[in-house]
Amino acid sequence: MSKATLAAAVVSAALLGSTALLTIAGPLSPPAGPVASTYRTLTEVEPRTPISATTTPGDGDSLFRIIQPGSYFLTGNLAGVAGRHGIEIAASDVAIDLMGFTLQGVPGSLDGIRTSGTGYFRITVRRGVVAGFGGAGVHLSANECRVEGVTASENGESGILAVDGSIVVDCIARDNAEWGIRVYQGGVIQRCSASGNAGGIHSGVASTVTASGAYQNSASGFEALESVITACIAYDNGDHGFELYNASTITDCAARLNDLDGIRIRYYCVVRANACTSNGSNNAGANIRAVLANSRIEANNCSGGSRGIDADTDNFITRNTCATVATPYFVAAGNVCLAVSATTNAVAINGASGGAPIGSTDPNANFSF
Amino acid sequence: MPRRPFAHAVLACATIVAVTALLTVAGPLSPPAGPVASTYKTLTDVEPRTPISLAATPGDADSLFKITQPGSYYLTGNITGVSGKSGIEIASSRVTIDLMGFTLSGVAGSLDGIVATADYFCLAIHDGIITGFGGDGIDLLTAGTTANSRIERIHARGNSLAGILAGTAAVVRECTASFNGGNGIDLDNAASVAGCTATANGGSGFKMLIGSSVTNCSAKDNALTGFVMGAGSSVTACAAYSNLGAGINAAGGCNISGNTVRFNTLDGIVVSSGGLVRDNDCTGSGLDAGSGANILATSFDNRIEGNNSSLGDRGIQAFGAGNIIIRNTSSGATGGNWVIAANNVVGPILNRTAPASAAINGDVAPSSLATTDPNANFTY
Repeated sequence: MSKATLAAAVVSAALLGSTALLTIAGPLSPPAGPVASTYRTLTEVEPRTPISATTTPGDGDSLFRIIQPGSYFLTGNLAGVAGRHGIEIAASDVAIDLMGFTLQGVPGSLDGIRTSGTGYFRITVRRGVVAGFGGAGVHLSANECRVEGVTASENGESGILAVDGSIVVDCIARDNAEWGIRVYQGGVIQRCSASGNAGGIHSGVASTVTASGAYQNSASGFEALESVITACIAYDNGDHGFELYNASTITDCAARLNDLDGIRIRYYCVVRANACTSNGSNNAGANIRAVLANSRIEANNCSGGSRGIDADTDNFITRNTCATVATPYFVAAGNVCLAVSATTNAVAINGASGGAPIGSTDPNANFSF
Repeated sequence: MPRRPFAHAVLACATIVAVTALLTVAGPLSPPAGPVASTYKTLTDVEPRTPISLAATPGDADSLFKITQPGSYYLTGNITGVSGKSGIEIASSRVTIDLMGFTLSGVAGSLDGIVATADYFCLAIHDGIITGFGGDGIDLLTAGTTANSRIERIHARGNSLAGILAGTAAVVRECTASFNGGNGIDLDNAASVAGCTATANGGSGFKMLIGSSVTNCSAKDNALTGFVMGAGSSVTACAAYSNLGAGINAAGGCNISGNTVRFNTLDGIVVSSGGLVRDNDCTGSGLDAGSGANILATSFDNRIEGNNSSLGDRGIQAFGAGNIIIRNTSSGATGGNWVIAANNVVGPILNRTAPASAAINGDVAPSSLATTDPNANFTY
């Protein structure tokens, strides 16, 4: 080996050595603790159970049947079959996410989604469409259910039906052959819409209905048993706008152009601060009608139509106003009601004062004007 | 004793193996009954919906993507629009689109962000942003009534026409519409709107036709009216602020209750006939060069009760005859706290701007109302 070759070899070795020194390798020791994978399994990514013939096989009257508590989801549109329900639930504590898909029934099919018998609890159905089934769209004979973001259309019975203690929120019911939405005792309906059904929205005893609308249903827009109805709209329904049975409260609603009564009540109701216009045209109904006794009708405004407030005996009628109605107050004997034809201002008012007593200073007077 | 270490070692190993074998209980070797089936999940199980893509939902001459079958679809990323095309065209009923938080961004000359091309029904669009399109952000109305649509958690911003446009009995929840060229949220009959905002749109903030309800919404800085409502509708617990038209403009038979209406350029609340206007707080209408009343009844049969009016050009005004105006309060309107035509029913209006009441510090005080008439209105 020549000296030059030897020198080159020494320089190369020195460079290699320096590089090796400068390159700090990572620790060779594994991290503390037991060995574990760092990836996620598909089951971890989607832990819920897909509804399929494998995981939720149906039976003689259902396409799919859920028999264990858990969280389930649709993996595609589902086509119904004559003589069968779409999804049958035979367990408590079941959640079904329709994932935006549609359960599409066919003639002769049964319910879209239903519980198998009674005795189940806490069923949730959300986010999808259930349409065209021969029975109900969603029929939950289970207590404490939740139906959220579901559209039920063109089903042969009710669109959405849930029994005691259930919540129905942000749902749409359209063109169903019975009720659009129906809850039994202790239910909550919020921000729902019902149009073109046989009846719009039905609430059972001790239920509340808030910020919902009923439009052009064949029968009544709302039917309520011992319920609270707040900030709802009933427009152009074929029967009554709101039909309340005993011990219900209705406030801050609007009823317009319904074929019969705008608001119809029986015993022990409160009807307050509603706008009722042009209901019961051609003498078919009244804007507010109390067919029985012991209700308080207060601070409503009625306009148009044949009758303003029409009451049978033994109700408390206070601070209402009726205008441009053929018969503003059609009140039987035996009610508490002071009706006064209001006095108008003879001259215009422009400033900080004016006007005059309007015909009565009785704080409970009702006025026609 | 002779030493046999090898034999001992063999014996020990055999013992360990035998004990281990006894302790290790193996599973059954027989397969479970029934047909063979997989136990894993497929990717389709994990995400069964259809991605919106050129392969799955190819567009056509006027759309980037076109959906032609019922089903559930989702975005896989942001989408940038193209001139002369809509972003997503819907050509089927019963379609759900999840924008997955992504943005559809239009460009100059683009059409609508999402559009339905005929009279479909049961469409749902949710959870994303639609901005900068040359047409509407969402248009589910122009080509047909498109009944029963559901639009939730959408931000529609800066589109040239309306932010959100939908047909009969639409449900709109928790959406924002801002800086669109037309109306912010524009709906047909029987709409239900809750928890939405409409800000700085070129038209009205909210517009909906007969039998509609709007609750807990806000309209601010829109170029026209805050809320335009068809007959038989309700506006409850909403805010209309600084719109260049009126705050709320309602047709016949509406229930307008519990709202706050402030600093709109024209009137605060306008009702036509048969309305109930109750318990609203209205301030400063007719702002700047505008002219307006805090509450205006343009026709008859309205009940205006229990409202509070402050500042503005005029307080409570009735153009025509045949309204009832009771239990309201008004203060500080520069052009008259009460401007009411003849032949209305007006509770006595008492001017209590200088009530001369003594300071109160204790359990009792005399009334400074100067009336016991339960229908009295007050200026203060």
